[in-house]
Amino acid sequence: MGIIEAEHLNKYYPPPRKGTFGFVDLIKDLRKPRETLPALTDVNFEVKEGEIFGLLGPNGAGKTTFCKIMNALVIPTSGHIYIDDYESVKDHEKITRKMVTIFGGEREMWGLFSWRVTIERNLKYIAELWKVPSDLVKKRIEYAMQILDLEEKRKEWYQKLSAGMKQKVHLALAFIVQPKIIVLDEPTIRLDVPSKRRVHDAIKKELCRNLGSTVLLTTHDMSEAEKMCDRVAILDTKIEFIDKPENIKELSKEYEILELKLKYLNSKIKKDLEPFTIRTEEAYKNGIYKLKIFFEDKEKNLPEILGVLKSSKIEDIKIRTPSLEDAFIYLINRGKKDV
Amino acid sequence: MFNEIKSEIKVISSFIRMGAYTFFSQRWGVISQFLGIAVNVGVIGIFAKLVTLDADIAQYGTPRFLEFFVIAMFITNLVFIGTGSVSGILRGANFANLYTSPCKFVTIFIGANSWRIIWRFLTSFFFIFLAVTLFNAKIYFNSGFVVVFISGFVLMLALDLFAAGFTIVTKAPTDPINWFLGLTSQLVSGTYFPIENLPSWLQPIAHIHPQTYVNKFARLTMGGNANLTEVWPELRAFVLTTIIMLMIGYVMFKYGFKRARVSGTLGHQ
Repeated sequence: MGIIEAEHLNKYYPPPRKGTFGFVDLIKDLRKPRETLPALTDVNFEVKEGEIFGLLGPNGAGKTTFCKIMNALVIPTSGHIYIDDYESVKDHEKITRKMVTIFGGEREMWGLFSWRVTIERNLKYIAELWKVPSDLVKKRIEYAMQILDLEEKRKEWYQKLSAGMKQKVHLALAFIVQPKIIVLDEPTIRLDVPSKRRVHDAIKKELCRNLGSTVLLTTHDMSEAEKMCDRVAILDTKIEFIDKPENIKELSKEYEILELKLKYLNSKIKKDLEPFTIRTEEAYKNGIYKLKIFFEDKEKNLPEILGVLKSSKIEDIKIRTPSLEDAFIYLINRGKKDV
Repeated sequence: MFNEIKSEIKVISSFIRMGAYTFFSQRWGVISQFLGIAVNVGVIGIFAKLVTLDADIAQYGTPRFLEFFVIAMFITNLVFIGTGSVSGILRGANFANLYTSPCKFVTIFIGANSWRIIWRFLTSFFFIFLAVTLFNAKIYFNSGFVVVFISGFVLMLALDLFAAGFTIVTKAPTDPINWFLGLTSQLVSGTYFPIENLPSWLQPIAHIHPQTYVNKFARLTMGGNANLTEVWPELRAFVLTTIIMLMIGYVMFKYGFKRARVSGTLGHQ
């Protein structure tokens, strides 16, 4: 039994409204909405207690919708998410005591942090909203500030902080509340490299190992997923794949990537390449074509590909195995082809 | 149960503290508000002495224009706390984040409005204090006033619940109810002159405007010192309307809230 379980979860949004000024449109708007745009399609997975689970997907894949359903901010069309055995929409109030959600981005945490108030006071307010026992509040604020390197900023107004600093203050919420489940929606989107590293270490060592929290992390940063997550699900409205990050990379090892710089490239050459490739990506800059070819069966296909490209005047050539990022794109595209 | 209430009160007090910190961080804003109130009272006091309108204001229990103006402005300021108390919070991104916290639904709305309510009370009573001190205004606070205030506040809250249900669905930057109330509250509700002095074609609007009745009953109780028993025969229809509107407003709000969660627009601007 997982601590987070998605069961046949479907979410279809109503199509965008045409406008509110036309009377007919307004009446149509007030009727029961027809939910036709898919955001999540038959999503099934479970997150085990104590693990860091990554939800990876491109923009519009349904990651934030999933987080919003967990917080009862969105009602699913059908199916359920169970959080520690409670149904996310029906038992929302009980779940809020066990879970903290931190949405990435500066604006996303409005309402919880006040602009013209110091960081220290803001964090105290957060602790009070989450009903942290009063004898622990001071200790936990100190702990969060130390872990996230915010000690020097404690007396500064929230509005004076940079976007990255604000994001670290938002993350302090998890260290102060210390809940059973933490949902992080793009938590390091605005952080610089050293801060990102510090936050990654803090989540992994402090939140998971020391405090035993379960983390659901949504991101489209592949290196973050690779470094942080015990398991990863690739989501593109439906779950494409779930496994350990290294196994996902392993899966994509069945193909290889050829990166070329060419003098000439035309549609005939591209068409001739098609039987030997999975897909190609091309870019043109300063008179040079950069071509990325994803292909399988090196022994058989590589000579054929090079044969087709003979007339293209190859200036540079590299063959490499795919990264997690390539694997992610491969799996997303494979999913689309299957559809 | 008792512990739960205690814990929610503690949360509301956190909201109040945070509201106060934010508010007092703008020192000049605080000073200018008090100065504004003093100027306002001064202008009303002088205006009340100069006005020569031929109107029967004694029927409202206020023989002088001073009390006629002061009471209407005071009660309008107080009951309009209800306007925007729900729709204003739901319009922005604030509510969605507060909803992820373990605060109860009602606590979020009370908490988020609590500082605004406290400050409105303070400034309104400062306004009355200046009117009494500087111009010797005769103002009474009795049981009738309490019922009039509560009914007026709840009615505005009910209308705002209805408005919230509307804006949460349409995502319109404003709603017709609060727009109508704001536009007409001082013009047609008899704040500066009795509604009988309005042109005949405007009088039906005055008669459907809730502020007209709030002004009328507030003047009778606060100006004429009429107690609850004396105003009750007329007041009960207003109280009944308030209760019905509260139920309708709640149903509309529930509908809008559910609809926004289906459409995924809760927390959108």
